[in-house]
This record gives sequence, C-alpha cells and structure tokens, in this order.
Amino acid sequence: MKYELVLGLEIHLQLNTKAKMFCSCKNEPFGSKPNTHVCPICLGLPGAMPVPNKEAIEKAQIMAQTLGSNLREEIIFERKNYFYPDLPKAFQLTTPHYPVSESGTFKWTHLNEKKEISWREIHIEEDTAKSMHKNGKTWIDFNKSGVPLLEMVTEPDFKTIEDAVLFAKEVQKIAREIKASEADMEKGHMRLEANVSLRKKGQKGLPSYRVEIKNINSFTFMKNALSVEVERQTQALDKGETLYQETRGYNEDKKITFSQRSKEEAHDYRYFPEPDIPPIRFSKIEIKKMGENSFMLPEIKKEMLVKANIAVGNATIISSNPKMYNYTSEALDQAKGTIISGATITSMIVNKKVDINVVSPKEFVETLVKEKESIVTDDSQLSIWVDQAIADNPKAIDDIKKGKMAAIGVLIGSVMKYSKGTADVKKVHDLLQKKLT
Amino acid sequence: MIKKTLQELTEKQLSVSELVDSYLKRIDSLNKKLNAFITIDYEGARKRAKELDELIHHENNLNHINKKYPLFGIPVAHKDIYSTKSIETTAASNILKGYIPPYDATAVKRAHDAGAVVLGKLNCDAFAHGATGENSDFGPTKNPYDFTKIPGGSSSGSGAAIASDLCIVASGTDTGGSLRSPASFTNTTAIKPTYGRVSRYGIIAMASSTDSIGHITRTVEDCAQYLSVTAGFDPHDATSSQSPVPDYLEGIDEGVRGMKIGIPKEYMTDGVDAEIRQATEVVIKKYESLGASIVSVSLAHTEYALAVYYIVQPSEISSNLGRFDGIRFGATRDQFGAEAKRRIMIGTYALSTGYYDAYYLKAQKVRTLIIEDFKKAFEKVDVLLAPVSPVMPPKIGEQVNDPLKNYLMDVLVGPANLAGIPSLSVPAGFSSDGMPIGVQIMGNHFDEKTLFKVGYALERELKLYERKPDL
Repeated sequence: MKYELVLGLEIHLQLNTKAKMFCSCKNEPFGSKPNTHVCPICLGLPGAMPVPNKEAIEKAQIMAQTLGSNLREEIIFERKNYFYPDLPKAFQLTTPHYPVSESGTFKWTHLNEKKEISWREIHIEEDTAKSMHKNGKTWIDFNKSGVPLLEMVTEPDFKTIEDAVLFAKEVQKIAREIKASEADMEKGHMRLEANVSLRKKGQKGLPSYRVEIKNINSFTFMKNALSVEVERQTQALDKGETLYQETRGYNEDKKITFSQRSKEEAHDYRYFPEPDIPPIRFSKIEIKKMGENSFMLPEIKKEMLVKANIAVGNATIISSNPKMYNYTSEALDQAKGTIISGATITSMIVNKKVDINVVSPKEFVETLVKEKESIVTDDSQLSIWVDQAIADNPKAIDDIKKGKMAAIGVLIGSVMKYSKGTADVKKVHDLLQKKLT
Repeated sequence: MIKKTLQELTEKQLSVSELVDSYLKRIDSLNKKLNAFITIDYEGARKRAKELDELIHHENNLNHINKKYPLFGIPVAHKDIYSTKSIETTAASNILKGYIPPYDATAVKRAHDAGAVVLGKLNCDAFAHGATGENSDFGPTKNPYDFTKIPGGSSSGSGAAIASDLCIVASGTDTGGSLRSPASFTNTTAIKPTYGRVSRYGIIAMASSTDSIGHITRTVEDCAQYLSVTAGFDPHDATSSQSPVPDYLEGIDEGVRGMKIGIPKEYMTDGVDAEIRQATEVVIKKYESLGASIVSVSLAHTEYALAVYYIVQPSEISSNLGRFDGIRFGATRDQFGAEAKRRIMIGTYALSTGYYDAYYLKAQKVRTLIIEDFKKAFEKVDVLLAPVSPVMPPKIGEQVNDPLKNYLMDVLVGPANLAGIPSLSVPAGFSSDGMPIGVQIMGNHFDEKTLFKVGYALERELKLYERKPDL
C-alpha cells in the first residue's frame, strides 16, 4: 500500500460512581424506569447549580494515572453551548482546555509484542440525556443526564486498525479491573469514535482532512467500519480526488460509510469557563502522591493481592494501609524469581516480623533469600542431628512415650542448636515423628 | 421593624394571621397602582400564618421561638426570579408564565425555616435585565413617590413594596446594581452582599459570576438581621463561601468615630446629577461630624467597568438563557422580550470563535485590574462612599428606546459586582422635587458588618425611614 494510516481514537467511558457528576441523583442510566433518577440539577431547571462530584474526579484521575497519562494540577469545567433536546441546560459541562490529564504514553503487550500509544488528553464531562424515537415521537430519559463521563483522546498514532481495536479492548479491561466502569458497550458505558485519514508513505505531518466515524458500539463494528473507510479513502486518493473533513456513519448491512456532517456544518460551541464551579486545583505533591501506588482504591489493591495468591486476611490488612501496601508491592516485585513466596513475605509484614520503617523491601527480601538458601534439607545430615537429639534427651523421649507429644519441641530445639538454626524445621519434625513411632 | 413586629407577635398583642391579613389587605388596595407584585399568594400566606399561630400557641417558652425562629411571622416577598416551591415563578418573562418550580431556592428555604411568611412574588425586569423595571412582561412597577416615574431596577417590585409597606423584607438580586438602584430611588435600604456570601442555588441565573443575593428593607437593622438568616455556606452552591457568618447586629450602633471613609473621585464627576452629588456631600459632612476621617481615593479603572460588565454579563446571559428552549417547560423562544434577545445576541457574539479572546477574555483581564483597584483602596480606608445612581429616576417610558442610556445607569454600581465586594445602599436625602436619593457604602470582601455599622450611624442621624410616600 502506498498510503500510511493516520488513526486516532476517542473513547467515551461512563464512570460507575454512586452519584451523578454534579448532583446526588443515583448514577444508574441503564435499566431503571425512565426519569426516576432526576432532580432540578440534572433536569437543568432554572436556578439549579452544579457541584462537582469528588468521587468522579478521583476515579477519572485513577483511570488516567493507570493508563499512563500525566495528571494535571488544574481542572477547569467549561460550558460547551449547543441546542439539543437531550441537553437540558443547552450546554454540556466539559474540560476542553484544562483536562484531567494530558500527554503520556500507554504501553501494553499483545502476544509478546510490545505496543504503545500516546495520549493527547483525558477529559471529564457530563453525559447527555437519552433520546428515544417511538411512534413518531421523541422521548427523553434524563436518568443518563449528568452521568460522569471520561473522554479519552489518543494521538493519531495507531499503525494498524488491529492495534486500535486491541487498544480499545485493553482500556476496557483496565476500566473493569480498577472498577472505574463496567465498560459494557452494549449498555453504552463505553462508546468509541475514530478519526481516520491517509497520507502518502514517508509524508510528514497530518493530512489536510480527517474523517470522524461516530457511534461505534462494538469492536467488530469498529474494525469493519474502519476497514471499509480506509478502502474508500484509498480508492478516492488513487483517483486523484480531494477528501474533506467530515463525520461519517457506517452501514453494517451495506458495508459502506456515508457522510453525516461536513465541516461547514460544524458548531461554534462558544466555550467559556463555568462560573458556577471554581477551578479545581491539586498541588504538585498531591499529584506526585497520586502517581504512587497508594492512589488506588483499597478494594482494588486487595483484589490484586488475592490474585497474586495472598491470603484474603493478609490482603485485607495490607490493602487498607497505604504504607504497608507500597512496601508489600515493592517486596513482592523484588521476590519475583526467587524461592521466597508471596505468602511468606506478606505474613511477615502483617505479623511485623520486619520493621518496614527501617528495612528496605530490597534488604528484606535479600535476607529472606539468604536464610532460605542456607537451610539444610539434606536427609542424611538431618538424621545425624536427630539421632543425637534423641540420645541427648532421654527425659523428653520418656515423656513422648507417655503421650506428651509436646516434648517433641525439646528435641527440635536441640537439632536447631546443633545446626545453628539452619535445619529445615518441617523436615526435622517429620523425621522425629518417623523415628519415634 | 423586624424587632418590633417580633415583639408584638411573641407578646401576643397580635397574631401572625392578623398581621399577614393586614399586609394582604394593604397589597390588595395598593398593588393595582404600584404593580409591585406579580403573584400574591393569599392561600399559602394564610396557611403559613395559621401554622405559626398554632406553633406559638403550643410553645410556653417564648425564648425558644425567638431563638429558633429569628423571623417568626415576618411577612416577606421574593423577587420573581427566586424559585419558590409550588408558587408560580416567571422571572417576569412570558416565557416562564405558568412555571411552578418543584423546589425552593436556598435563600427562600432559609427564610422559611426562620419563620418567615411569604406573601407573594415581586415584579422585576424580565430575567433581571434592566435598571428601571420597565422590562417586565407584566408591566412596569411604579415609583411610590411619583407614579409616573420608574422605581429603579431590576428589583423594581422589591423597592416599591418596601417603600409602600407591602411587606417587611423584600428579597432581590444585584447583578449590576439591581438592588441598590431601586433602594436609592425609593428611600429604602439594600444590601448587595459579597459574591458567594448568600447561596445562589435556586435563583434564576442572570450573570452567574456577578449575581449577588440580597434584599431591601426599610431600615439598616432589618437588613442586617435578614442577612444573618440567608448568609452562609450552601453545599448546593460551589461558589458559596465557607467563611463563618458573624452576628451582624452585634455592635451595629458603635458609630464611625475613627473610621476612614474613602471617597472615590471617579464616582463624583460632572456626569453625576448635581442634586445627587450635593446629597452625597451632605452625607460626607455628616460622617465627618460623627468622627470619621474622609479620604479621597482613586479607583483608576472605573471608566472601563461598564464596558467590562456589558461584555461579561451578556455573555453569561446568552448561555444561561439557552435552557429556555420551549422543550421541557415554559413557552417557545419567541416569547423572549426585546432586552433578553438583545443581550443573547451581544453575548453570543462576544463568545464566538475569533471574538472570545478580544472580548470575553480581555474583559476578564480588565476585571482583575478593577479588583486590584479596590484591594489597594481598602488598604487605606475602611469603606468607600459614593452615589448609587448618576441620574434621578426618569419617567416611565422616557428611555425605553434608548438601551444605552439605561445601561449607563449602572455605571456607579457595576464595579462592586465585578469585584465581588459588598455594598449597602442607604437613603441620603430627597431631591428638590421630592424624589429619594441614595448613597452606597462599599466594603472589603465579607466585611458586611462594617457596612451595617456605617449605614446605621447615618440612619440614626437622618431618620429618613420615617418619611413615607403619599399613596
């Protein structure tokens, strides 16, 4: 092919917060009776005012952080003014110039192949209401009005359509893992838009046009629509035609894309800062803290620990203590590839067998490894020590014979003394049992 | 008046129902002449009065009533841009005729919880756009001192109602002088609090960044007392301040001895009517005689304030009025009045791509300079004293085809809104033809307490509240 793909994605993701973005209405846009989660604020009644939802901002930051985009110190909501029946205030609150995060790179691996994509920015905004067309009438359900929404915009860096699909799937997976969204495309939790154009191979800079494909509601749809559109653009360019900036839809039955709106019809949104919401600011230190592991919901931390085969009890304790969690995750990283198990590390941390304020995770793991490596497990050596212990402790043997099994501890103690603490305790115990019964 | 009425009610010289009925009767007999009320809520007011009468009947400890209900039985009326649950709220525009809000504005709720009785909704310029009261789709409000003249606006009904004793407190809003202007033309007192001092939640927005929620009363003391009820943080308004609300009555009679009162020279130019300047000079002399020192100050960017105001305000209006699209409630957009349409067009233009930087953004930068002017002034003086209006009230209809002349009436009041500082308008005297003149006392952010103190000192001397219109 003599053309190069210029492809970027915009992913809209509904955040699964308890309440909506600017009011305390329940965030349940799907499945409830229409217009049951509404109030003066999300209905845009005269006099109502928006108050930003802290949980939504935090989830947006966690999502952005996890996806490798750089958090900003200042988020400013602005009004995007336009008329539409599903937009009760006649403006949408969004963050076009002072978003949650900007730039940064998201890296992931697919079939051992390393992939990455650059971010343009991640915005937080409010969703619109939902229009339904039935019996020649339009019905509006405001349950969706004001639901917190992330708009995640990549640079047009995708090398292939497949990469874009893989990326979208990866974002969906992460959104679910960190519990930011159910990201169910059928329910509209996640919606995709693609910007696609072609440039001659080797050509620098962006093409003069850009085709936007909206309302993508499945990964298959995305793949098919983009393939068809790239083919259309290839043929047009081959014929020497000029392509224009426009929005196109995709007809799955006919396997064609069709023009929906040209650039001339584009809105002037008359953006300006929302006077009802003061700028939201974070200090450099707060942003740095968010960059550390501690900026993750405890439930997610716990789940990740459990997935790594850590006992639920220990996982609960560790995940609720940010300092302990950071220490643990670093120690677990250090222990990868060694003979030290995650269970050993976490139980030592939980039972305060290591002072996490003094010993670094690295030192802690190294010490464990050293101890473990010097432990004697060789049966013949252990037998010598066990036999000597039996010979040296007639009283204990007597007790054991009388049924006082606890006296076995005396024998183990002796073995540990002879071995200078290097004998494998479990094996010693097994050997003693065998020899005494 | 609040104090005296509370005493009469709690000493049971008078029942709330009797009091409310007497006010309703007065409204009935005078409203046709004044057009101060758009809606009179006979039923709601009487029901509420009865409720309160029962409450006091069952309460043996009257201290409880006084403590829990600082406005027990006090008849109030709200400007018709305050959302009032189950009372029609029109913003004085046909577009909202028939709209009954499902909720109370925070300021309405706070007054209600304090024991106030709502008599009805007050006329104003539609959506608060205007300085004369003539832009109401329900007809202009008349000035009680001369029915052929405007009463000031946009809170036109609020000023007229208080001057005519149709209620004890009339709420209103001040986006660019809309409370101080009617107060100065009707011999009444108005507080435009610091931006963010009183919650804007539930009050139909005009220009969100300058809207201040205040009220008009007959006396400074009433004004202070009512603000103690409405002021304070509201979780529904992200711009409302967390700073604690002081007791505005405490020390109100301490006087002005030793205070520094600044006179901004840009507010006393030849552009201001000679009689208004003269009345202001008399007030200045009075304060001097009361022991205050008078300092001349300069607010260098005053001349740009009006231009800034008439870019920022219509821009925000153009966005705020977008929701009146005729889809969910209210009438269709052709019901917007001429002034609303004018401001929507100016604002839409100013916010458009390619113009935003030159107009809105530039205006916001100049706004910062205006704020700096005030900051510097308050390093030198405790308060600033200036006239409210540059002109005496015109005749109704005289200026309706001259929007610019109407806009110019905001020239001395707009700067306080742009800077977000509080300003108290108090009666200063009367013109040779018997029309009221007011002065404003501007203070530093959240320093309403000092304003009340300064206003009270003048009120005690002049006793202008005793002078009432001949109705």
